[in-house]
Amino acid sequence: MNQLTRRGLLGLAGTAGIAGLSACAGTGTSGSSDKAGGASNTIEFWSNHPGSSKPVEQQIIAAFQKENPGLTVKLVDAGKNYEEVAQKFNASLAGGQLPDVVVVSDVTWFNFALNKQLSKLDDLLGTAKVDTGDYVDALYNDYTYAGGHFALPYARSTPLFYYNKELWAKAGLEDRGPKDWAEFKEWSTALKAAVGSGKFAMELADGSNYLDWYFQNLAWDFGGAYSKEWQPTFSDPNTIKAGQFLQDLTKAGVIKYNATPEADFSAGLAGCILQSTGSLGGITKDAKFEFGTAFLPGTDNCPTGGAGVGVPANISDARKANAVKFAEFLTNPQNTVTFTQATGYMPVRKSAVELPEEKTFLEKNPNSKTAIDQLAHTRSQDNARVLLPGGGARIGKALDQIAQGQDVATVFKALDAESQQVFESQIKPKL
Amino acid sequence: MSTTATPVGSVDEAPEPSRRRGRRRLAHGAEAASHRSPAMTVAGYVGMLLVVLVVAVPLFWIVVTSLKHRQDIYVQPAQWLPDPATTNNYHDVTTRIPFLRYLRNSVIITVVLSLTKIVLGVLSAYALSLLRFPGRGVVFVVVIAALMVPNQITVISNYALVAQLGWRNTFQGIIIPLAGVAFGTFLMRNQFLSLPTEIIEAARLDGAGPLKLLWRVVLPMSWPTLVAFSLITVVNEWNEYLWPFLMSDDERTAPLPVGLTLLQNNDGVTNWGPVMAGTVLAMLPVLVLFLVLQRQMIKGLTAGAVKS
Amino acid sequence: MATVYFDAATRRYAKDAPPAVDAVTLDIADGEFLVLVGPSGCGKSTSLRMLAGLEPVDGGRILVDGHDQQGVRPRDRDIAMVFQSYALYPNMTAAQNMAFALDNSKVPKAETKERVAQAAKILELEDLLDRKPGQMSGGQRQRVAMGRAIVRQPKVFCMDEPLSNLDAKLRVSTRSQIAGLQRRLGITTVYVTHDQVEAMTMGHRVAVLKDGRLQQVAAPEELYDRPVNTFVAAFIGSPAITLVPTSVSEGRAEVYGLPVTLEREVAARASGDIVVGFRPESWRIVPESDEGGLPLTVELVEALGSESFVYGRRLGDDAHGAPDERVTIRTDKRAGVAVGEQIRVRPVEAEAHVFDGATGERLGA
Ligand SMILES: Nc1ncnc2c1ncn2[C@@H]1O[C@H](COP(=O)(O)OP(=O)(O)OP(=O)(O)O)[C@@H](O)[C@H]1O
Ligand SMILES: [Mg+2]
Repeated sequence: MNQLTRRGLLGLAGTAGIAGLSACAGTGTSGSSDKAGGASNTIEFWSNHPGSSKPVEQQIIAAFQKENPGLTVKLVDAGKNYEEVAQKFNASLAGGQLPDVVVVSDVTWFNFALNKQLSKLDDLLGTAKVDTGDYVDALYNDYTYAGGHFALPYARSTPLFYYNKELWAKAGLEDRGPKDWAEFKEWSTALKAAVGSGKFAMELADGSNYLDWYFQNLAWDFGGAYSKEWQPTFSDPNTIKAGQFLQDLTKAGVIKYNATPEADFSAGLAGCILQSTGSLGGITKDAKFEFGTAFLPGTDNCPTGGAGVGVPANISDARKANAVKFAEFLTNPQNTVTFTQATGYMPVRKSAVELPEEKTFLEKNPNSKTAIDQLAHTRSQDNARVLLPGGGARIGKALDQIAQGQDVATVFKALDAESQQVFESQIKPKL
Repeated sequence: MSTTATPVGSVDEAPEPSRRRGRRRLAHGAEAASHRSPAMTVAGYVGMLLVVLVVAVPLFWIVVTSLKHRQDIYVQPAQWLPDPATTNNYHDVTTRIPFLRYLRNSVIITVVLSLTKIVLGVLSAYALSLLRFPGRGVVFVVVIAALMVPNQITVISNYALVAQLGWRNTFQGIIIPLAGVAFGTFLMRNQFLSLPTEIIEAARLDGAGPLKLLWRVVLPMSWPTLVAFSLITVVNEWNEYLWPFLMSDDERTAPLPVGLTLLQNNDGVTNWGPVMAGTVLAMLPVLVLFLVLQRQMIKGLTAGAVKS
Repeated sequence: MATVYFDAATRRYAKDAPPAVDAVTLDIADGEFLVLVGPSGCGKSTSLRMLAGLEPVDGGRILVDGHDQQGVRPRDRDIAMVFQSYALYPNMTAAQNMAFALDNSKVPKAETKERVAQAAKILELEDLLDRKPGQMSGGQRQRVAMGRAIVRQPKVFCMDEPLSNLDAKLRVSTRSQIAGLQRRLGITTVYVTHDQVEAMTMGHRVAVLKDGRLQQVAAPEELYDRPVNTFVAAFIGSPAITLVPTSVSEGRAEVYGLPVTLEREVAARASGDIVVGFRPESWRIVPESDEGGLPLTVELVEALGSESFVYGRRLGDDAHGAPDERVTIRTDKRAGVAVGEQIRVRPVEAEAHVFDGATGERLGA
């Protein structure tokens, strides 16, 4: 029910706008020195418990408090998805009583950073003597802006290629994912025939459910991209080629769109899907057949995603220090292993995979290993999706139009113009 | 739906004109009594059936899903009855999240808020419709204006206020900002204004003071509207999400709609069984209340008060 | 029990509109039954509501027992009103409806019960006491509404067309019931009606209103016999008086060509244009041979049993003449005339009502 659209009701742009409005109304407490209230020995951690991780979070918090007897961590249920956390954080930015540590997703962090609402962590991490080099580079550098880092990677995921091994056998295909999208196209005829009527060779999430995240992989595979730095490149011939490819396969009846493709996949209704690594646990429980996971088609073109943890800018230095201490603890090698094993996300520390418990875990769960192996082949997402306000939703909408058969070049051209305009009006002045 | 819908149209248009006319002539008396051709009757029933389907099927599906094992939820072909049935999901709901605490919070918030809203709504509507005082029109305009202010705007300023008072994650922080009653004022005012003025005047002449007038005369005649308003209020408060979500931090104050989201995996595959079970449990109290009150709503209570 | 005095009482609903009640001065004696009549919209209900305190008094005063009612709340005036629409409390039984006012004024329970029982007896409501208004007939509701007023034993009763929705028979019986009751209780009553018969039979005096202005207040016979102007003359009496505009010279006027000699007293004051009126009973049918009689074609005969009314049109009039050019004649039981027949009539000169042609004021006594 609540998952009809995972983006939630208020887009990021909307919440940002509201925050601005109320700031004008002068109702906030901002201005006084310790605006955020809150005791300096209590750390409020605002989380949406990604991947149903509340128990694990509590476990990690307990460990933290044991190690730091003077500090208390208060875990706050801050929403049912990343957008809601952003919304709640936005409200507190306008109204006071800020958290100490807050979960920010790949698309929500930047706007907070841009508006100086998140702390630049580099100095704080330096003071706390955190070895930032141990964070997986691709993941850590996702939060770079203005020469600094604004969050630590926490619940990080990548898409995976999930496929139904029984179907693969029936279609006479090798037991592996496609090398690239061209190969998938070759396979699609056989898959379509094997899957039978009423079912589909591939299902993808629709534009309201992060198709824009998965499609990045296609765009890159065809040599295109959403943007180059801040320059939107939807009209790039290669990006258009990727869009055309998607439309062709849709018209051919190979791909179908759905709010929850993982559910159809588990039910055997879809031959393969692109889904977050976060879905691995659920699909393992639900699927009654043997399935495999593979890298996304193409080479070195897997987008990263998921969330990190940030520290608000407008809290006292004492609180900031405590917050960073906790954020580091939350993502240290030991805890990232604990967390990811419970949820299906990926360890964010390089040294994590060396830990014995992680080694045994990966041996037992080869599908989880796919994700970690793929990590070396990830690529940071394009600004047009993650950094431009409302970018994901905007691209998702355009992709929906393409899937419905509208002219690819036209749709992308409009998207180009729109993205450019958002950049000019909302980002450029602040850079 | 569409497969059932097609025959409806064809049934409706089926009887050829000549047959219709003949029948009409023959059954003139009967026609006067029932005014309905069989086609219309069939169409009526099919229409009702459609409505029932539209309303009931999702409900049925929620209940059925809540009784299924996890692997039976997404299967092809769909399972219409849980086989085998399980109450595990209900067990899950009450153990995986502090369900009873959320329920308690929901009850506290809903009861206090509904009572406040109903009392305030009735009193303000009464003052605005039946009592004369200077500035009445201005007050009414202000109330209506309050209706027009988008929720999102007030949310932020309310948040600031409540946060300053240190009321975050408290019941008063959740309840007080929600207790505004513009809608109730508006609805009940219109109801009160629709009452026959003579009855109000009669009561005034009979020496009824303002409260007695309200309690003994005005409210009894407004019962159906009041019950409908109360029901809408209760359902609204029960399902209130945004504000309690912003205000509450954990199960100390969060109501059910917020608490139940913890059952959903917010980045990955949700196990819908417990979610549906939670939904069913959250739905029950309101459903019961509705069944109890709906009789009250239908009764026409002003019958015989004045000449028609 | 109280006296009521309207002292140039005025009510204006809107600033620029003409007043709905215009400087009405009316002295109502203790225990009197006063009937207010007038055409629709003339301000009857408004006058009543001003007295009850439901409408403000914009000019002048209203006194009850010599006390100005300005600022006195309706509930403190001790005036009971019977509304045209009954206005019963639908959620209460008949008994509760009647007891409501007594409860409000903290009358002891026992006494309340006693008074309700008494009223129920008078109004023959005993079997209906536990019913709610929705389960009663119009007449029964009407009686409950009366009962609600009676139990209060107020200073003044205000009744606004209380019988207008009853059928003819019920109306007749209730009419006499109300009148009788009022005489027995001796409570000052102001009674609004549209109905001629009610006006003429129920009240001690009748007040005629037109456009918010009081025209005449007098006992019913007086009003009928000596209407102060053409409006009252035409409004009171059914069928209506036949009014003929004409002129006077040397004490004589011509009515449809018939010479009518005016009383000396009237003739002395009349000059120029006048209006002469004869009520239906002031015409006599004369034999066809009477050349001086007014020739008429009978258009309509209303035989009411005990009497008949003949409506005749003057010869020479075209068929499209206005109805007020018709002459209405009352005859005995059997008129002995048929529609289409030609008859001759003569007025009884002594019963002429003579009014000034310009002002419509009555001339003479
Ligand atoms: N509430 C009101 N606002 C404005 N004008 C009103 C109001 N009530 C009555 N009037 C006007 O005042 C005049 C007198 O009305 P009132 O109701 O007293 O007439 P009435 O003599 O009782 O007529 P009826 O015999 O039709 O009941 C009418 O012209 C009417 O239009
Ligand atoms: Mg009236």
